[in-house]
Amino acid sequence: MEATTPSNLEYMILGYAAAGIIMALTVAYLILKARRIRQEAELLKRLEDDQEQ
Amino acid sequence: MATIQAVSDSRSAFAESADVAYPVWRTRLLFGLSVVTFLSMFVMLYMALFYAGTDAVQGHAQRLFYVHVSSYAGGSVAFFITVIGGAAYLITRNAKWDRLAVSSVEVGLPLMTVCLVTGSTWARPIWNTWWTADPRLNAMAVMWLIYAAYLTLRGAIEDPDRRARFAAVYGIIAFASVIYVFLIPRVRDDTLHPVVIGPSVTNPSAQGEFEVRTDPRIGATMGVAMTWWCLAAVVLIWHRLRLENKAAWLQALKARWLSKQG
Repeated sequence: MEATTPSNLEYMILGYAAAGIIMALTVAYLILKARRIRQEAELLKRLEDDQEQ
Repeated sequence: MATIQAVSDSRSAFAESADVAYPVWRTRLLFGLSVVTFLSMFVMLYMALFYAGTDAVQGHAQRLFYVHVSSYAGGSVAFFITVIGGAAYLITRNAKWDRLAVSSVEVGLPLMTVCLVTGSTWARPIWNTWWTADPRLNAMAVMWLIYAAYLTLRGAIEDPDRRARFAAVYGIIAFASVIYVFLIPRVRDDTLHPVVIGPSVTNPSAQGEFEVRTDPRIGATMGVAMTWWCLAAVVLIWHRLRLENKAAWLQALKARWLSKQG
């Protein structure tokens, strides 16, 4: 009996999609963290400027 | 970065930020590497999804091989950098090494998550199960939990010196789990998990090849995927480290500002 290649494309798509989502979340985490630090730095600078005036 | 450099020009306490104002060439190198990593991702995906042939036995699910194995390689590189950071901290007691260690764990953990998830997705059509009590699979899950605990336990220690010392020792010891995961199908004969990279000396039945040695397209795709995931790990750690440096600088400024108020 001749063996046939199984059809399991959906699992490949699922795996690659999951990997993409995890990596996208990792990059989003870095972007959001950078934004929060920048906002805090700007706030602190404003507070210090106000104090000097 | 531009914001931080602009802020560092201020005549105020922000002048202390000189330690997070990096040389321009380093920023350019990071930017260049980030662009290369992003663009080469499409090359890697093209090779994995179209260039490499479809496995006759496993079908398209075998293409998960290029993500599953290489994300483990990228995660291992990240965790090895944790060891370097931890060891350097214990020798120098310089907080920058502790920041490198935590940054690499935060990047290594998602890469190992990719490895776990793609492995489980691949197992479903091939082993007919998402998960089974296999020594390799369980060791991988334990390794993931060990590094997740690293982040949790760090957050539970208030004193920065104590936290850094604890994390350094923990990060060095935890790397044993990465080595164990790599070795386990090579030394135990009761695992379903195949050995594709390198020989399986004590467990020949675990040897799997996917024609890596006979089909140059599979070997080339694997090489590109391995390089990409390791490069992605390094670039992400570099970005994460810069954020950690900025956060530490900001923390110092906050403390100084608050002491002035007092």
